[in-house]
Amino acid sequence: MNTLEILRKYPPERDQMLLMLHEIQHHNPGNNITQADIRKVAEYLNTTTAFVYGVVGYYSMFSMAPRGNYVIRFCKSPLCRMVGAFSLLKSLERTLSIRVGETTSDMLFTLEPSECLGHCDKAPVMMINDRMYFNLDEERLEEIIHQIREQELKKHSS
Amino acid sequence: MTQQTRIALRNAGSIDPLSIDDYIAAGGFQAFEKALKQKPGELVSELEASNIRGRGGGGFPTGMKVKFTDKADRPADGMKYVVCNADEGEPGTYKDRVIMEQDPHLMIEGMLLAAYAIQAQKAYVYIRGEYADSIRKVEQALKNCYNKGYLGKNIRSSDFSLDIEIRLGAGSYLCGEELTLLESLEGKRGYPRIKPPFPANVGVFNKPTLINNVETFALMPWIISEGSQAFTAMGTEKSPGTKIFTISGDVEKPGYYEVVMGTTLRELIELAGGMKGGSAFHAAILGGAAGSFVNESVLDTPMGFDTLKEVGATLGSGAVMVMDSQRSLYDMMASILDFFAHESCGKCVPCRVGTTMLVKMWEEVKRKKNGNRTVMLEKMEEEADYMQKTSLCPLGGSPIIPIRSAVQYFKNEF
Repeated sequence: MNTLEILRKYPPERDQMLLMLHEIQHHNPGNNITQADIRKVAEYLNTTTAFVYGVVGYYSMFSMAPRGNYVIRFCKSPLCRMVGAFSLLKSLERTLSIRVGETTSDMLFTLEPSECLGHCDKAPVMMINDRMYFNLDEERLEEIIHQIREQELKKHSS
Repeated sequence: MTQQTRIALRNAGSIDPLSIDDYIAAGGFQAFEKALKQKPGELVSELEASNIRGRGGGGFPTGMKVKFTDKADRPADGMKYVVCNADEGEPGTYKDRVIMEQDPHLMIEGMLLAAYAIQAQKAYVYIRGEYADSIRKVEQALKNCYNKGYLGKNIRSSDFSLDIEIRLGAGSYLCGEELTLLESLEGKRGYPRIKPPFPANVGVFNKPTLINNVETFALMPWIISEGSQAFTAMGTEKSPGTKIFTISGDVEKPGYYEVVMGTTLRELIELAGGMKGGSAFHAAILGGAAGSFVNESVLDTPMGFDTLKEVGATLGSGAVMVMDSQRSLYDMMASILDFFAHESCGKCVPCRVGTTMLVKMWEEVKRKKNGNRTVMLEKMEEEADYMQKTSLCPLGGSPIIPIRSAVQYFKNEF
């Protein structure tokens, strides 16, 4: 679905904007919102591109930079940090060979920090796209990343 | 041994959250059917008499909100709104998520009751964007309600009509603050509004708006079906009813527990299986990042909004983070201060600059092991106090809570 088709699903009212932006971002191959999208949203809602740009820039779930197919949101809020989130984040950086905020060169993973994801009883936790991962340790982290890489390899070889 | 008293969680885990038939079989919508036979004003009175206080953290009397929104002049277009704040993001808190994932219809019934009380025609659920499972389940539950005639035009053949729509957040903690949430709901950057005016008079789209937390709505059906007296019979005098606590950290069975208000921290820890591996209790943070550090002297204080306030602590959202003696209070405070520095929206200078200053000052406290730590701690309190007095929204007013309580209870440890 292209951006215009997505926009037409919504009434042209400004309170729909966050919903639109979520869906546009979800459908874009780069998991992001482009300049062109911003112009289209502004036009559709009869507002300025500056206004839409301001909204996109404010919310941390939106990204203008292209991201990987798998956006990792790693919880670094107080409880997860208490049980070792920072050292896990370091090891995840090593596994992916990127720093927090970056995307792997194969455009598979983007690693983002996140505030409390609301699963503190199973800390440390992270999200990959819409899925939650609980009770993380180094071994499990490597396994999760490995599995996703394997899946992707199979997809491309078949 | 303390037992759970489940009202907001009465169906959690025992019914299929996506089945409205299950919900109805478990007594769902009886409160709403009862309400439809009453005058809206009777509901307003009943909610006021229940003395229920907002479960999002502020503890403001919900009945007063209902009354103010009811009394607010109806604008020319006739619109009044109900908004459900499901933008749960206070660190350590996951009660609203549990309600939405396990019993979304209950939250909707609460919203129906509130909307009927103030005769609102439109309502929104504003859910945080990361709560994928909650979003999916609330979407399905809303569909179910339309299909069964519990939402839409002339609900259950009455004169009352209500539409509920979902709106999504996108990763801003601040949008959990009610006025900021309304800005975001209108499709803007999440900047706080100046209050007054309060949402009861000038809310979403500048119309009278009743905004409550998910747990608050989830308690309403019980209050209406059992009566306000049954509600005030539970809990403490000034904080009646039940509260969901989400306990995490160094306990055997971290998770969510709904107990009567006034339950003590010691009882709650017991309910959660006791300290992990029999370790010694050292500290707890009550109410999330915008919450308070307490030591063992608070273990037997009944937990209610006022009873905790009396000892310099907070109930907040009901988050309880437990730390044993191996945990570093320094690191915990550092992560809380980092959190505020990251989430400050930047609109008010004292908060924008102050939250970052506090992070630096805390590093100083840590570095000066034997130097002038006390002076620095006092400076931090002073700074956080300024922030509280000069910021528009509660975020700027939050850092003083952990800082002051940490100084009060753990001064000798820093």
